[in-house]
Amino acid sequence: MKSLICFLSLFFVTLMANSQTISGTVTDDKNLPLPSVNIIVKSTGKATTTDIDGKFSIEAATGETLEFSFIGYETTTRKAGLGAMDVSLKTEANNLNEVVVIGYGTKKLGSITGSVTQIRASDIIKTPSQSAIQAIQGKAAGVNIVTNDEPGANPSIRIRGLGTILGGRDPLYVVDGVEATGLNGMSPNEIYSLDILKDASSLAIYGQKGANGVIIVTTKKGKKGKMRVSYDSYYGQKFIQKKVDMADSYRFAYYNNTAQGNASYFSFDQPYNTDWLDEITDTGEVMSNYLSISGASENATYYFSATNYKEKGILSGAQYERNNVNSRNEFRLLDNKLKISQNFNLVVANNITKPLSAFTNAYRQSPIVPVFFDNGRWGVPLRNPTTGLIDINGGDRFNNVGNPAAQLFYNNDKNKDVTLFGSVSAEAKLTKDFTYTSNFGAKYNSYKGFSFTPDDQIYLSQNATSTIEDYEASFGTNEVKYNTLKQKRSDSYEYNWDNYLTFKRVFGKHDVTAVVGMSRTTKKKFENLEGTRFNVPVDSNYWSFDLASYNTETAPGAVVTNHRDTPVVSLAYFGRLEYEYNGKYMLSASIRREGISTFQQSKKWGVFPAVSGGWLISEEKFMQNNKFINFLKIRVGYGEIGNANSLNSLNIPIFSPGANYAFGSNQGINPGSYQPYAVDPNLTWETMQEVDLGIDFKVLRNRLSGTIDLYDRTSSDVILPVDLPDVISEGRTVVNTGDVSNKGIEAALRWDTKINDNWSYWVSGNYSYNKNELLRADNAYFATLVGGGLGNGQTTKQVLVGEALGSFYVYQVTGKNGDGAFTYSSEKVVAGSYLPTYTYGLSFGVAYKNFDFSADAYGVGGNKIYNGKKAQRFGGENIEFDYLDSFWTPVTPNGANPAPFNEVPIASTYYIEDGAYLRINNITLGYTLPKFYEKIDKARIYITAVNPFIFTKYTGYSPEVVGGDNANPLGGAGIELDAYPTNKTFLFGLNVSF
Amino acid sequence: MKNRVNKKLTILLLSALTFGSCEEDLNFKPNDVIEVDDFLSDPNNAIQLVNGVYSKQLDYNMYSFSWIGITSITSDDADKGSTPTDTGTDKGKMDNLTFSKTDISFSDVWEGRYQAIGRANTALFYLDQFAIDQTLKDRYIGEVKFLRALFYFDLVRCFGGVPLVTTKIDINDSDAIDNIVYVRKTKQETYAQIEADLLDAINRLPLRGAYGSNELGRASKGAAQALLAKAYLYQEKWQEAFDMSGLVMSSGQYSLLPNYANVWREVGENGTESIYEVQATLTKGLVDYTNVQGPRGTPDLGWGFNTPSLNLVNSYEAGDLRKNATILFAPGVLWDGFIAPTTWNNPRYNYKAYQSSVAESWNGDKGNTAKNLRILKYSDILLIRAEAGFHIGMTSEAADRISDIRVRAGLSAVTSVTLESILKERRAEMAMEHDRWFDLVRTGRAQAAMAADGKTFLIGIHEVFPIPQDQIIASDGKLAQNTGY
Repeated sequence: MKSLICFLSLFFVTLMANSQTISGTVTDDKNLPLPSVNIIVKSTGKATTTDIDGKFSIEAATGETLEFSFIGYETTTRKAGLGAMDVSLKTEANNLNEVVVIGYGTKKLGSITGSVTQIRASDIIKTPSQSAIQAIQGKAAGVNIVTNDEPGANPSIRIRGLGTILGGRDPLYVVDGVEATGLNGMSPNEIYSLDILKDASSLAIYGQKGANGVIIVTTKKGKKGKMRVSYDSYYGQKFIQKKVDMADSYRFAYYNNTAQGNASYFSFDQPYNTDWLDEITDTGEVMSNYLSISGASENATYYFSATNYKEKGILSGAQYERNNVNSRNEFRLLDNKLKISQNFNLVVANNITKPLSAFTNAYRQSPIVPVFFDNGRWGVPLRNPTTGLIDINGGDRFNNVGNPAAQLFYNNDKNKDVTLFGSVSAEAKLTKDFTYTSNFGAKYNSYKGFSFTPDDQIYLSQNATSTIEDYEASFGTNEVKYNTLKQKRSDSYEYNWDNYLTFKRVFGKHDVTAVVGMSRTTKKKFENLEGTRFNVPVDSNYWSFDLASYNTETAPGAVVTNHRDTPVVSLAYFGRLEYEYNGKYMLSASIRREGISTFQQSKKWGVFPAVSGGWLISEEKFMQNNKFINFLKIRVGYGEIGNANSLNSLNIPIFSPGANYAFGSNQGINPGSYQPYAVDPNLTWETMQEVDLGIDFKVLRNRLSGTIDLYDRTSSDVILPVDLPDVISEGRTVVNTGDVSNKGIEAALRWDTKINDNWSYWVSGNYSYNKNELLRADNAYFATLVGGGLGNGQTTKQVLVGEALGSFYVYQVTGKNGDGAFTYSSEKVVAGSYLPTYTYGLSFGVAYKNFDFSADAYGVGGNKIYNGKKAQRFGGENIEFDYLDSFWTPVTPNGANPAPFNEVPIASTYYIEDGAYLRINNITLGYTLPKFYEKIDKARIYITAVNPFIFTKYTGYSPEVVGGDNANPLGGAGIELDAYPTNKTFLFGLNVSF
Repeated sequence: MKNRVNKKLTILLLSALTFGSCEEDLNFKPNDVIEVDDFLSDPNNAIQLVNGVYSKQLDYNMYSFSWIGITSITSDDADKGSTPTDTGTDKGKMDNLTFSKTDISFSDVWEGRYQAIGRANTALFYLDQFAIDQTLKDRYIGEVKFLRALFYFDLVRCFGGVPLVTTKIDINDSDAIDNIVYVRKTKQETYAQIEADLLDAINRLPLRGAYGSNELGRASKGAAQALLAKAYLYQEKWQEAFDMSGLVMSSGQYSLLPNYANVWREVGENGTESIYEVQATLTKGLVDYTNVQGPRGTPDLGWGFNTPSLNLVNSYEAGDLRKNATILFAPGVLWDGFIAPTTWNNPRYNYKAYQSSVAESWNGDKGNTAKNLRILKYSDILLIRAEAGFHIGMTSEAADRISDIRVRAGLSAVTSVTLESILKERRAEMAMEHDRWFDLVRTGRAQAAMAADGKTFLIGIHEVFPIPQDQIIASDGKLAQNTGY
């Protein structure tokens, strides 16, 4: 009996043990959850993997051996025990364990088959900057970041050269699974990792939104344990990085007199010598304070942060302030079967803008013009024809440039933006293998702005001897317009909703993941309302329409305008299958069918497949004994991506109102309509096809790691706006134009070493080469398109098959004639492209005891810039100082510059300059304080120089020219028209966490 | 159990894929522009298409700086003006007759006219589809055809024969583009098209007096006849020009204003002397027309271009009232009491382009003034009648018409005329009104007149301006360039 009981109890215990579900969490050595860890019950062969939160459950008997393995970690075995098992895996000395977020899923870095670059918080956090994007400049091959120094503006980012042309060249951002068009002032402090998807096989799953690359942002989550508080703060000053020296009043007079052929047109002895750039700029300031609180309990994690960022721009009076509040929570319900996460951001930005055209005016205005005349009136370009001196009573208005200081002084623009964006996501584990995910993300922006123009004061500033009475008299019996108040309101809304089902299962050595789903996106739900009234009281507290004396009673009529955009909606169905065998062979295939509201009926839908494979050679038996190579993988991928960005939301023939005209004895306005542009009904998807071949390796005990990618991408049916014959279309028409090829190589290397406990350092570098070429022009209008107009009748570009898209096409300077004027080739010549052929980044870091030091540099080469501001000079305007260092005179016929002239310059190679540059992005020196108070985990102070140096031959303000005209390659891209100086910043900062 | 899971899965999946994923969601109407079908369904919109063609005339590339440059600064009536340092892009080259095929003025004038012709063709295309009263539709078509003829008239005078596009052309119709849009017709063919449009317009349009007072300014039968008379004159079809100008005179719709100076002032706008003018108001002005020609300096009223030349000043007979009505002399007191100061750049400005800030409509916006641009006026018709009459031997009619004009200008009537005296009268009457250059060219007197003004007119080249180079490139070389450029 006893034995029976024993037996039974044993039986029951065994029975109980057999049916026991062991569950737990696997984390890495930093206590972060590890997904996709393989867990095998040694005796039974049962296997599972951890979910995204590192959680697992598996049936095993107590005491049985479980093996936890994951690429990049040391394989660990544990005995199954009662209760939750918390297993921590130790890192193998490499980073392949990193989890990379891919479209609609995650993957171990080691299993990736596409071209993906990951940047971790540790690389970002040490270099404070207004935007996280700024901080990754030079750290990833093939990623080019163009700084924008306007207060509050985001830098632009270009991945693998020029992708699509319309609708922006910006990549798609996916913040914790939710699409975003930018990081919206997200603090760099909040970012845990950035994954940059570069090749078509990785991007295809995102469809057209991914056509310019995808940057996946994973934010920091609360971690289990005690509540954690972080505080980061910095203060800095901004200066102009590079000035262009302008002529002083003597050189100005000399140049213009020579151009005029009149030695006394301007006196050489002018009373003023104004440095206009100095007059309109100040030292800028930046200040940022960030606080976060995070933590986690058994079923919830929380993260809360607030950031205040303030900036005073270098242009006098420009200001920007932003407050972010961010809350992210995650809840687990139903025994971890349902996870709900929520992310909510509020961004409030206040902005006082000043017109950037003041820089261009400062470039052009003559130094002989004073900011103020001696009697206190604003300076104007008036010359006394008798004396040749600047003279307030002079009659000769020798140029048409305004007084930039007055321009800033009378500009009163204030804007307020409130942006709410966030997401709700639910992930339900339906069965052991199936997970269903639904993500809804939305962004709402509300904008409010006003602009107050004191028309009377502006008149007085432009007419230096006139009085306010003259101004009033100039209106005769009409109501005098003293000032204008403009009020602007707008809001925009966009959202995306993704639903997908994931199947994941490990069958012995086979690891299969499949995803199917749909995605819906609505963009451009935008509406604005704008109104204008005259004559409000001048004090700013009275600036509202109701207080205008010139109101609807005295001046009835339309004072309000309202515009509503047509939204763009896209729908997509997608599927992906990933297969991995024995952790060595990987295959991934995806397909996406996408439709967009823009195109006409039969042109709406496109299908875009992708396939890629990888072979982890270093896992093969024959490589096991190789001591030199620690890791080696080759990847190959092919993918197609569609792009449907067009100028217009709907590609249909339309009528536009506003072509009004007056008729009748009282000249009343009659409404008129017209067709502003013609439409090509055949407009459809542009397709980018790309083959990518990549190698990832680690050698020398994992100290040297690298990646090399070769790619060949062809964009077919490129969507571009073209000029049709005027009689067919007044405005530009968007058509599929031809094929553009981008071929290139990207290489990145990193050397990491720890010499001893006190010393460690790393060096990394990347290089990418890209060749852009227009292969074919399918469209007759495109084939004959001329572009890059300077607004003075001169054009600088032309479509040329066989050349880079947007190549400069100008007259070649062949010499000088007897008057010292340039002579030119009879036909235009190709003079290079604004697209760099190569870019490179270098970064270096060293840590010694508590000190850390890092420096990054970024450079481009092979590009040309058209110095458009110089080539747009009109007579009587200033010139650059250097011009007169070497120029043609009868006695110096070999001078570099032609004899001074006032005519509109011919578009020629004279204005084409080498655009190569090397810029030191960032130099940081930090010191982590020794533990001085037990509650404080870490305290670090640092100093940083942002963009302190640039090395370039380019003589303009900045070789980083985004270009006007929406950076259209056949428009303003690569032409420096506005003189906008870039900044350098010096910062001092502090990080504390406790 | 398994079935249930599968079912649950299926339901979830299906709901996920279908909820909100209806493909119909991709079809919706625009918010910011009006769809063609919706536009055509409202008969009130027909007139809007016609107004849209008129409205094009106000654009910068129609009658503004570029037009002023190539029709007036080129001639002996005007100099570039402004300051020596300000070349006005290519206006110095216009003044010196050293212009070239890449100058922006030619591109502007070409583009503006063809955009306007495109609007006219589009309007005609859609007018046909409107269900509206036939009489009204006829009038609308007549108005648009008058405008199209006017645009071609500018083109043929500037460039000679040009491509004749008279239908709305589909962007994918490469045949039409290669054979019509990019192929220049002869000067004769171009005039034939102008005549055809105007003859049709004459049949469709009402007399000026038949329009309601709210419609004043629309193209009338008289406007079409006047333009046709002028087109005949340019072709030296003297009899037709004589007859057609006679029809305008006998219509009883027009007469000379007693005061010549009022013709170009606000009081003269749409007056009895006016046959056709571009209508401008404060809110919808002729972009920069007066600004380009406004006095430069302090107070700053404009850019100071297109200043009357000394040659013009000296061309007036003593006592000719038109001199001081055409030329603003500075310093001095202007007609409205405004003091022209010594702090203006130039001694003379175009009075016909002066918009008074104190005595006329004015809101401080120099770029958009209410100045109407006179295109066809009754005195022009009298001069056409006289010139054509002279050529067909109707010399007493010619003398009478010239006398009408002279008497109004404060000069004595004449009993006999010569071609020389008619053309001299034409210059005085029409000075600074964008006709002088074309008159010199059409009468073969350009070289002599330019020489007298110190400029070199190249016979065989300068009779027409160069076809803009960017147009030739866009046509892939199919558009032929004029001789000598």
